[in-house]
Amino acid sequence: MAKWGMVIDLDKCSACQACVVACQAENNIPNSNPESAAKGRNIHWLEMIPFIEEEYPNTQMKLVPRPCMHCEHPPCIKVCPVGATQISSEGIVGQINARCIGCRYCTAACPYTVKSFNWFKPQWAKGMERALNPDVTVRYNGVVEKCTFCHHRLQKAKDKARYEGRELGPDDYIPACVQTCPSEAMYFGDLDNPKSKVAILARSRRAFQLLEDLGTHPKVIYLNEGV
Amino acid sequence: MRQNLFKTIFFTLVCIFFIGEGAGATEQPIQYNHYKHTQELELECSMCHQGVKDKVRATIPSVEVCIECHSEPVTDSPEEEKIREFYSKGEEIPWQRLFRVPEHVFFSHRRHVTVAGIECENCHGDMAKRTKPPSKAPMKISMNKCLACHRKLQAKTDCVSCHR
Amino acid sequence: MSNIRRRDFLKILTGASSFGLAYSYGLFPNIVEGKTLAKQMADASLRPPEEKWVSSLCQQCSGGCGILVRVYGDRAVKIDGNPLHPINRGKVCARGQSGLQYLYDPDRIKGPMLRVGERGSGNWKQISWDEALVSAGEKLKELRKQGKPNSVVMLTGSQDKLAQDVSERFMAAYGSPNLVHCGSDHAATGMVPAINMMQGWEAGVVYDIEASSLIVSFNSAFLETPWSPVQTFQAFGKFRRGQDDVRGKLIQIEPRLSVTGAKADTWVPIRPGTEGVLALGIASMLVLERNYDEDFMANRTFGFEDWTDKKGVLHPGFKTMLIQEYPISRVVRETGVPRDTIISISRDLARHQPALVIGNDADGVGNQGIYNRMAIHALNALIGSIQKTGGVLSRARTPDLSFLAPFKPDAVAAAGLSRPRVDGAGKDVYSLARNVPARLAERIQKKQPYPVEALLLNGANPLFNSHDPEQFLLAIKRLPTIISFSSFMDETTQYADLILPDSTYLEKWQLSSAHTLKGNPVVSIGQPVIDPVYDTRDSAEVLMSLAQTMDKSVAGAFPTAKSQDLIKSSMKTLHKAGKGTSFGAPLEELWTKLLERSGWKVRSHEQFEKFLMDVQGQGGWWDPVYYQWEWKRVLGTPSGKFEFYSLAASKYIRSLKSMEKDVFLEKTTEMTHLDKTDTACMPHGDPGVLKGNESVYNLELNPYSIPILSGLSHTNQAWLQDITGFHVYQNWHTWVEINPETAHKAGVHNGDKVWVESLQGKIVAKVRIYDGVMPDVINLPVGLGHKTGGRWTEGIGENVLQILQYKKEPFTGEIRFTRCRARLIKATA
Repeated sequence: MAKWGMVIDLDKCSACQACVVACQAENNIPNSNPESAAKGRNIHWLEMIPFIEEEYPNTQMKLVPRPCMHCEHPPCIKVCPVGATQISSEGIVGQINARCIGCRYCTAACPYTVKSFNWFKPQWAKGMERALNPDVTVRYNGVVEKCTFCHHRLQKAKDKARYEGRELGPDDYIPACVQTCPSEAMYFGDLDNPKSKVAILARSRRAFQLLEDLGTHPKVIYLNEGV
Repeated sequence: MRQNLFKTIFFTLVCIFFIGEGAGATEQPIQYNHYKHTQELELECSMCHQGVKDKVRATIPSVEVCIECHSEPVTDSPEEEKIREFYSKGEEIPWQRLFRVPEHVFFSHRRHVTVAGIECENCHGDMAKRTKPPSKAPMKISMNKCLACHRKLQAKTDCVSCHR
Repeated sequence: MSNIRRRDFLKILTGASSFGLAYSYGLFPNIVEGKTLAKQMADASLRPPEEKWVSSLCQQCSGGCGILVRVYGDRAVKIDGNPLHPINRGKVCARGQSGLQYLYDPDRIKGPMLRVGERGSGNWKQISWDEALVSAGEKLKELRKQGKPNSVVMLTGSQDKLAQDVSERFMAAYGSPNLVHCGSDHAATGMVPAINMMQGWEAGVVYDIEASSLIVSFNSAFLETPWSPVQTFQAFGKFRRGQDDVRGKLIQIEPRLSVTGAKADTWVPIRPGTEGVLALGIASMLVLERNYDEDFMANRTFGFEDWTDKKGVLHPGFKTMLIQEYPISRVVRETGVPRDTIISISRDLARHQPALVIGNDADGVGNQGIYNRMAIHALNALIGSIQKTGGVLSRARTPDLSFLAPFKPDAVAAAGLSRPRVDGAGKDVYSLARNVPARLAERIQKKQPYPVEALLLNGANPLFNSHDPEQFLLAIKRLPTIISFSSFMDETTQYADLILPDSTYLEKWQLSSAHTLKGNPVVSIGQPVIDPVYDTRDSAEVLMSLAQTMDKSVAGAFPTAKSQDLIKSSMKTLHKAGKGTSFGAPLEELWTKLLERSGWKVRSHEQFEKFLMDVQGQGGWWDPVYYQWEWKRVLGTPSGKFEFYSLAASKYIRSLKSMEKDVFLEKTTEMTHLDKTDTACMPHGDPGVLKGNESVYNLELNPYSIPILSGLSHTNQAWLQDITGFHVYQNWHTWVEINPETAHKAGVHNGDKVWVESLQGKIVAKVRIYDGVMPDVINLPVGLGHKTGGRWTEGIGENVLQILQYKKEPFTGEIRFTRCRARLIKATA
């Protein structure tokens, strides 16, 4: 069985944020506005996070695109009282909004702060709702949402592959962020298949994970900058 | 006082409206006879529900599909005449859906029908044998039912396999 | 009511609450809520609508990327890259992704409108297209009848080639020379004039980033505000990891740590405005250590060594100038860059081949004037990177795309066209300029050379981005007629008398001509993806239908009023040229390339119909073959060589009257030991003068373009506004980046509101303490502060342009916003 994972090569990444906007567009994330932004309540499943190191003039800034890590041992699922967030047999940590009661335990438990709570009723200015993706449900206020590795794409891809009587190919399923990444810094695939591009890259000596020592075993693997 | 009166009227209206809906049966625009089509004439389900075998959605046929056979009267039923009325007005028949999964569920007909070979009855009950449109879905679709079957057939029960 | 069961009762409750909700929507009819949508989406599935991917063209910036749009029924729901398109190969950037918010913008102008109140009062009447066309047509016909077609000025900023060409033809047939391009009047042409001076090629150059092994970037945020974002990002990825064994190295020289700086291996902070001096300092090190490309200097350059002209006058060469004028001590003093760093950059440039030097190019909000840019470009010649793989490549010629046969203007038009342009471009001091939008305000007010009667706004918004909006407003307020084709209620359109709203790029036919970063010409076709969302029309088609209501010769210039017909005939011209091919898979293209290289003519499309079908379906045409050694094209200067001493500049200066010449030399050169005219023909450091009292205005203000908004004509896009200042955790507001030390001195803290004041004015900004700024320098982002235009842009932040110093560029007369002195004043809550 596949173990879906992502590799992000920070050396190739140009921090253009195409992935960030692609994610907003694909997943029907409600539009932000100045008021909610001021309260830090805008929703982003994928964010570009700046890490500033050292002081002027030796300043260094690492810019890290941060989706959900889809941990092998996700802290969020342990605290969910209703089983709304669970890890699938293929390693995708899902968030079932219909089941979520909005207690926000998981947002507190996630060390990567990838979970967002819908503080407001998601609203669209009239006319804008036409841009919504029909494959993704629209959430409502009072539930938590997060990156799902665009698993609705996996559902469709699997459905198609099965119907055509073949195995899922490596290009059949990729999330929207990976698809659009202009500098081709993001890779997606099956970490369990030793021959897949992601598995090869994950073995690179540049590879690291965010907060490795917590034992969460993230399936988003970064490749460090530099030689 | 006046306000209270308004409130009472409003609440009563709401009650009537929603109880009416809750207790009321779904009325279809045409008294469609599934039995005749599927059992007597032995037509395939997919003849009208055209997506059932090779699409995600089974779909309810458009009037264009009906008119293919019914452009000339084939029976003397007054119900049949309605098809041609709708068609000549250029309108769709306002069928009421009985079966639906919530919109946060991904359900693919072709995966169940074609790939897994599940019979229609499993979810739709004896729909094919009804001579009159039922007022309610003959079988209720619930997550428990999905899961029971998935477990029995050892299909995936991951949340994200179906929920989106 | 006695038989209510528990379940029914619950139903009542939920029913009542949803009724309440529905009621509250009634109060806010302009908002649709998620829950309602969820229900709609579930209900809409009796028969799911048809789904398809339509190939089109992204017009958020001028990059020329091909897109595929997912169309679900009658809705466009996702934009992705066209995998066959040679520019973006299936990828799109954040701006491209956000195209849906451009299309479905709720604040678009939804139909033709006629002003009913005072100008600028915002009182409009919805009218029909027929009325609108008659109204516009009558005014234009009247002016022609009076024999003054030249009094019509059209300002255009459209990126669409079709719209540009139609506008040009319309104005020519109508009889006005006054078609003025002003996308944004601050140095929109970027590096082109500088390169034109040295290489004599107007189409400009591209940087072969992907094959380079070292990039030295002088304040060029090429990973943020590039010429063609997606292919630059793509090339960057390959530059880093795409070449065997070589990992490209990036040195970023800039006053503030930008995103490009963050991605670089080395960030070299530099005093704002002194990049030219540093470039020449590095050049001087290269010369002193004899680390330059001697072959290239000897064979392909002019003015490197001292030379004598026809009259026997000795002129100093670039080499002499460097050694005399740019000793390293001066460079260290002026730029603030340590000596060792300068030496190490110069040795890096000598060691790494091929290397590439890039100047600030994309947006005019920088500090590099033409001379600084020439200085930076001169480094490319010194290291022999001109026309080299992994270096600077000149853009290949785009084949003829003309869509209609030439026409003959009638007497009225001919008379109109013979009059001088209102902006004076192409004459006297502006002989080298094509457009001088910066002069319009003054000339219109003074009614020189003749009064302007009508202004047509076609994709231009001077009241936001001109250097002096107040003067511009005064100028246009008195004009008898203003007609706007804008799709959005921008600052200038507010003052129009009549609005004929244009459709957006996803709703109409368009054409784009662009180049890959390897120099290949690419022509893309954009087709309408969905029907217009609102009652808008393609402005090119509107112009054509206006033409058809006019005199015979004007109408005759446009035998059709359909953009699609023009594209078809344009493709016919292209097909006749018999070169290149429609987009295909990379392998196929490699094959074509090989065949053409070895002299075979590829006839990929014998029949035009098949050609048209492929070009339209796959998104466009390109020529995969690039002839690298066409030196005649690459170096089109009078000497036929790369000119360190620009003969074009020299000719221009000689053509000036003596007073003009003195002023010109005064403005362009500073203290120099050399002859002033010689200096004015060569690259030199041009840091500019900082006005204002240093003891009052104790800080230096360094402006930069907000990456995510740069290149956009319209910024009412929430997705983008939300990620403007992600590196300092700020959005939806103008911020000011301050060094911790400076902030401490000024007594301000993160998040404080402060006034940033310069001689030109003041604005409010939020303090963001940032370690990527030099002490005593503050950075302000440009691109926010619209007064109108929609809910996600109006009143968001401040228009920084209004407090910047500006300078008129020599040769072209373009306005360049520069750094200036400023101070911080704490704003009281």
